[in-house]
Amino acid sequence: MLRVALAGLRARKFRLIATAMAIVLGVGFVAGTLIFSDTAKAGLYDSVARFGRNVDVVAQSDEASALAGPAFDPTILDAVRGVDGVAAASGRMSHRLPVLDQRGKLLGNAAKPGTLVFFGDEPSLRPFDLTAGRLPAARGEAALETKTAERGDFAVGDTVTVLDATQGRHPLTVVGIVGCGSAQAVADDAVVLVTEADLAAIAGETGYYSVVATAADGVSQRELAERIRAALPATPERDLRVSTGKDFRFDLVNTALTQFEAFLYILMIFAGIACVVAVFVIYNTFTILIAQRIRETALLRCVGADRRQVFGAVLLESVVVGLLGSAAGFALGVGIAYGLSQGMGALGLVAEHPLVLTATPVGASLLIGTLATLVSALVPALRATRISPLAALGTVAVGPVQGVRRRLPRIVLASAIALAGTGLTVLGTRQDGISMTPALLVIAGGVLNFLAVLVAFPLVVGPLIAAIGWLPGRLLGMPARLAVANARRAPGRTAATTAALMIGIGLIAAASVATATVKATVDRQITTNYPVDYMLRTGIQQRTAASAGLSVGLPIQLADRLGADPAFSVVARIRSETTTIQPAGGLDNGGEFRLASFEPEGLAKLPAIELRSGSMADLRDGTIIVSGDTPVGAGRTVGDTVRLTTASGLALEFTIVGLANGYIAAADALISWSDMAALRQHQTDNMIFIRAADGVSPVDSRTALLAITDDYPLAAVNSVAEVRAEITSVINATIMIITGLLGFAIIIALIGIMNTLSLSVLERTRESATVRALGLTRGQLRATLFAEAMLMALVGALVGSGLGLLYGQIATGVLFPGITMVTSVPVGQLLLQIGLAATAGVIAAVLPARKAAKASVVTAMADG
Amino acid sequence: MAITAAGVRTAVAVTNVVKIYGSADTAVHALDGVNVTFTAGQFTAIMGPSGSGKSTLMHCAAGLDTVTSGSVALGGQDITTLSDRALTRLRRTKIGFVFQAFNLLPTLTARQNILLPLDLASTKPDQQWFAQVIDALGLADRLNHTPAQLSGGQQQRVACARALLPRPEVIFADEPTGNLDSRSGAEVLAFMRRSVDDLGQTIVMVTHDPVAAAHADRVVLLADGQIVGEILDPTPATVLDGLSRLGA
Repeated sequence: MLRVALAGLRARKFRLIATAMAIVLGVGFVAGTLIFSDTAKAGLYDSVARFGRNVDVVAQSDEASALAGPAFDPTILDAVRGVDGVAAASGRMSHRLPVLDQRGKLLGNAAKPGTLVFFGDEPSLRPFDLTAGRLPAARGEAALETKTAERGDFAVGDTVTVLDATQGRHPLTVVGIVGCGSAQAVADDAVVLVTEADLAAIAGETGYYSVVATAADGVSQRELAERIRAALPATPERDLRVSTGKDFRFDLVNTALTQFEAFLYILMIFAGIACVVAVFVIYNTFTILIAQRIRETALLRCVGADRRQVFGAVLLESVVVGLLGSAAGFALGVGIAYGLSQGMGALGLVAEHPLVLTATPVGASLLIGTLATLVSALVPALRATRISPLAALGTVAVGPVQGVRRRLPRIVLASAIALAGTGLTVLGTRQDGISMTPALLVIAGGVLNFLAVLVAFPLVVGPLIAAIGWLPGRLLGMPARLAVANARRAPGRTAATTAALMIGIGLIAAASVATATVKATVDRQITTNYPVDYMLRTGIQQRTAASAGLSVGLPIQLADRLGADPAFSVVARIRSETTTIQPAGGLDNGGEFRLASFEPEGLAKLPAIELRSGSMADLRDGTIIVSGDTPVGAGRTVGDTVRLTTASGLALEFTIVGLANGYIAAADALISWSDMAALRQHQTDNMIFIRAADGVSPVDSRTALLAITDDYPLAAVNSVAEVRAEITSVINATIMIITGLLGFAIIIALIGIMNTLSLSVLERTRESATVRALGLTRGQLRATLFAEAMLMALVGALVGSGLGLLYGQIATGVLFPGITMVTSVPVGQLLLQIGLAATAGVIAAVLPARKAAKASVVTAMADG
Repeated sequence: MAITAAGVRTAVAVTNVVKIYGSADTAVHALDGVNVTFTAGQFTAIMGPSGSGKSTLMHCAAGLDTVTSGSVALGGQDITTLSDRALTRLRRTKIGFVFQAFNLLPTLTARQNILLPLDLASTKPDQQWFAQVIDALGLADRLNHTPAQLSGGQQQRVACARALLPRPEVIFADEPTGNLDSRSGAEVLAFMRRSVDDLGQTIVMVTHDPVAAAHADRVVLLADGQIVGEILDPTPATVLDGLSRLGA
């Protein structure tokens, strides 16, 4: 039996390749993800290793990263040095301050505007290598980290400017370039290495966020850690933790990994989807192969093979195909991992590192690929055992059109699953609160409903094909009508073939709808809440600024100067303050609460901001307008009282006079200008809303604006048009990434269409010859197969899009609780995707169609 | 050997046709210089032992297969020089086929199968003619059945209707009774006879059954790729006699 199965495989290489292709691609994705993950992790280890080089013990806060953390009294360095067994110790200092490039613009980003560092005088404990020039030795000198220097186009001899907490400028001469490795913490920051004296003078920093030590010979890391822990004075405010160098390096990598692992997780999900689709394709291919081998199998039964042997032969075949496909898939995976790490390395997203090949991806690939193939072949193998030995004798003149057996159980089962799926979905949408539960419920419901569609699909796919094929049948005549009839003849087969495509297209459609809805919602907020041409904001995140104690507000003179410029008709100052709010109505919507207020003169000149309820005119002392579409605003109505606590512990009460559509001026609520003044004496403005005067062109207004803001490096100019464009580009990028990740699943599904058609072409050899004899031209025969493939692709794409449309909308509602989403259906995009799927279906039919058309009528007739 | 009489029209003329399969050492001369004409309005049977080339002759005469040399004229038009596309279009209206295995499309109903050649040619059927053909074949109450729902005899009658409906220049029938029981076979042969007598249809039939051949006006005998004899107004006895002399 073994020999029969293997001989059968050898004899039909085409079948082997057709089945294996799906496995190769699915396993390729899995292996690629695993290898890439190992490689990227190894790269991370390498890149953070420099911070732990020669470090046997480290003392720092739990909150500290490699580059920054809460500072401790400088005396702890002497305390560490005094411990017996310490060979060398070094203190590390850092302070966040905005760093400007040579044109006077912010060099870092909003979250990481820049960091001044001093890593101590002990050469062996320095976390960097000098790559050019020398280290700063005197005040006014600095060395830049390589990535920082690259981004700002700095060379030794240039001048870099640091802004202090009050935005005073401190020019420093670049005397060297140092490499700190490619740790994420360093990659997008602006890292400036200065002397200890400059850190104190510019930043006022004198404490260490980290003290690192090397052990003397014969002293273990653990032992030294114990001794240092005992020697250090108790630090009442912040927890100073002493850990070994080994743990330190592990923590560093883990911190870097958390963010990265989310990405790997997503990759694995998409790899899983590709494998599920591959299972569909393999199952279908095996089913068709068994159907075609009825006579062969019956012959085996005639000559004495029992059912178990037939079953075993099919499973053996699947294992061989699975193993070969997995091996090829692993090879593909190596290629994918190489491409990923090179591509992402070039983008600076991962540290470049040679590919890491461990046993895990090899084992996982072979196991997953082989198991998936084996599982997919189980049902077809069972079917093969039911073939009667008599089938070897009969001559089947007319291949009967397969109907769907057992309609009622199918309907009942599908309805039951759909009921459960819909129930879970509804339950998910009814849940309140910000947790993952509703999302998980909705996802589970979606999966169940998809399963229900799968179960019911063989029943509905025929009518669907007929409906979709009606128009082509009218327009293209006989070939299209034949295609419709052929696509309907084996509903189970067509259903399984199209279902594979349905998964990929459905998920893309869901992503399209979700992103379009988010975009439309944000768009509405911009339109109704920002009736301006430009917004000036500080270029540094509020949170970052607050934690570093930076004054990053917009100087008061900035609005004065803008107001004096005739290019602008409205210049409205906005000042804000962060408080905490008590939850309302039993909801978990308390916590941080940002208040904003408009300068009255500016607000009066702005077009009215549309509210959901209440009126802007009612905003006076003691009243408040709360964002109504946000988690914090949920459950609050006009007339309610809002209780707030300021940072200094002051308790406040406001009466709600209006609810806004989402955030206004990046705040949770608006209060009056005088109430704001009573809260805090602002030295700066937080935002400025600007409208260009009538008749001033966008180009002119922008030039005028930039002429003024050039003097204020921390003022970021946002035009509303730019904000929109930025959102659009983020959305488009998201869609592209998702489509790219699902591309694998879609390619596998297309291979499924190709397999099904190829095998159908074989099955219908005699039929094709007959229609050719009766007057169907080669072109028309090809057209028939193109149309059949297109119909299958269209059905899969349409049903998938329908499900995706539905669940994309539901998911956005659940993922953004409390926010009224503006549902947007990207009709053009969806139609484009469906059209592309149909086109891809036609492309999948090219090879089978060629094969069918090439067959000579006479031989085909004889073979049939 | 061709019958040439005044007022008699030739439907298909096969002239010096040679058909060689394979090349060099493995070359097989399936047809070795065949000359034969099929007269319009006549029922001709082609007979011969297995491997004599009778199916090949039919395939070449019907334009399903290409000839190595020689020519085939259908209604006076040389079809050996036509492109595949032109040949295909020709088959739709000028040639009808009846196969041993019926070769109906399982996905189409009887009516759709019958109308298939006309649909391919995008022509509307002559309703009166359609009704006449269906009536003659007794298929009126079977038109909406799929082939799987029809008996073998019914399927072959549907195939006959399909061949007849476009009023082709000639119908080629390849062992039309080979898969049928004797009663159904006799029905099909009787119908073919009537369509020649009553409707003036030209039919060329390949068969190895002397009883079937006896329904023809003329039997052409083929052996080793060559025409070796002919029997006019055959009876099962004369046909058997002719065949046995081939074997001798």
